[in-house]
Amino acid sequence: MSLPMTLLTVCLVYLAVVAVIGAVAYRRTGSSSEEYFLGGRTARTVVVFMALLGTNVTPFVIMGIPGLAYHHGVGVFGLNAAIVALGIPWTFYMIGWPAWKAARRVGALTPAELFAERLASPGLGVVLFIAFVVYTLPYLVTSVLGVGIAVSVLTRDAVSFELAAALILVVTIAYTATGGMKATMWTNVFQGSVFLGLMVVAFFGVAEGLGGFSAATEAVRQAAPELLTKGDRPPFAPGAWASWGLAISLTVIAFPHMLVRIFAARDVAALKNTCRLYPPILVLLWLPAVMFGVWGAAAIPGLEGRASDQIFPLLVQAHLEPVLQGVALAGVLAAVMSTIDAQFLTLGSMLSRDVVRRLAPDIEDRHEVAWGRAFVLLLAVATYGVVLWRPASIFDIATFSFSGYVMLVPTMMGALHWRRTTAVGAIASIVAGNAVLLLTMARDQPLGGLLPVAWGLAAAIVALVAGSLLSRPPRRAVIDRAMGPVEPSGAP
Amino acid sequence: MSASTPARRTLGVMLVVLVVLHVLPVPGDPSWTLAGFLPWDLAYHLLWMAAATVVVLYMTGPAWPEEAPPQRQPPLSSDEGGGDA
Repeated sequence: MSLPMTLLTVCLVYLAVVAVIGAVAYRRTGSSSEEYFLGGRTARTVVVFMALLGTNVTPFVIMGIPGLAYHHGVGVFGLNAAIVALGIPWTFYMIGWPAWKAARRVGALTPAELFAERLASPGLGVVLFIAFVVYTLPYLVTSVLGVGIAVSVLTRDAVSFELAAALILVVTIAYTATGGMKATMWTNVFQGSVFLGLMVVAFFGVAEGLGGFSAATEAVRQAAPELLTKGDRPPFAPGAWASWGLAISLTVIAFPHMLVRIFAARDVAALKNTCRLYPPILVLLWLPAVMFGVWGAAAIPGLEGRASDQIFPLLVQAHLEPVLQGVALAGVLAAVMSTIDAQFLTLGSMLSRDVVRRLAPDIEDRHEVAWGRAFVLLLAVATYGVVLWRPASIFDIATFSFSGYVMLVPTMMGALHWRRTTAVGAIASIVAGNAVLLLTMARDQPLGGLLPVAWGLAAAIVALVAGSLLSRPPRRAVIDRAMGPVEPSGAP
Repeated sequence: MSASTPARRTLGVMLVVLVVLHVLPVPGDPSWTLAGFLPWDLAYHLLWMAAATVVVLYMTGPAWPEEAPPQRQPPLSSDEGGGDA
């Protein structure tokens, strides 16, 4: 069988399994909004963990990180993987857990709805909706960009970048729009298994192709020894190191598509087990991703700028058998689809709940779901347009989105832990944080050695506190409805 | 039910220590390799992740109480639901 036919066969098998899982989920999904958007809040540990991991892992990890390590070396691991192994579970504990409880208490289906209810402010819900859309669209783009690059490289341009991007959008929209949350979470279990398996198999396969682990590293020592140490390159300067660690740790919980998956958890045990599984699974993903980039710098030198995003598929193409190349392609598809399905579904649910339902409070559930589906289609078209434009590398686009999401964290922390938080404070926080973020991003040099995200976060915190203290808080009944009565220990 | 104050304080200390270890320069000779292929700067952060795993296990144990999912609360009447924006 020829290489293109092998790749096509493996990918068709993968897509067929996804379609079957999506169809089964569709048949088991009720017609209410809570069933469609949150799967009835019944997800157990494995489904919650794999859905969160699948949503969390994008081509940013599989393609962007090898591309970054290609230029900057092993320091990329500490810069990203290590700190999120702690940061993600901690934010699930500090924000995810109280948000899960509050969402159940008030019946919220979206993050914007939750915080609008907690702070008694429909206006805040609209501001959050706008912020989530503005920062999720570029993040969506990184996913589709990744799959376009992987497919065009692995098929040697037999399937073009543009066609691959269009196909992945069409297939994902099909099962997401029909099966809702249950379809996306169930398919994520399979998709997560595929890309986890891919990274482990590819790690050993590529190392063997390079003459073994030691030989692969030794080749780097000969060709580019600076990549084997963290060194003092700009991304690893103390201020940039600390502020990026802050950004990447805090940003994940602020992804609306992550928070809604937490809302879908059946119980606290599912959330706790998810936290426990995160650190070891991140090692399985990130260690190969970084080493692919470092080894690739010696094995396939000369990739300039964003061309280094191709290093993973190039290594796969050079060192893995055709069937495994097909699995690699399916793995990239899995990483992409398991993220963009959640992003599309969440943005659709936010339009339905946070905009349409506010304008038409008596709308029927089936019409609310229909609005969500229509918005998903519109977003897919917008995403495709930006993908064709391809304004920057995967890492650069992700950095923009990650920094933006972090500006929402003070509002989340305040609303869930500080009863004096007000909607005025929250809106001031979001506006001030984003304004300072954009102003500092426009500078050529980092201000005070820190990344823009650190300055934006500081402004967001100050504005939240000042705005809250200068305005009238919601009535106690509103606060108690979301947070429960005050406990002596002050625990969340 | 809430987490005990000592458990939350212990967790806080653990977190601060880990963050400090993450921000400080990597100790040791950067030319070392672990298992013949892992550069020391990367191996150090793998060890750091092992420590983070222990902290996460503590966080999801003593510092995070078991509790049943809360009940849905009825919507508030307009008299009860004041706001400011």
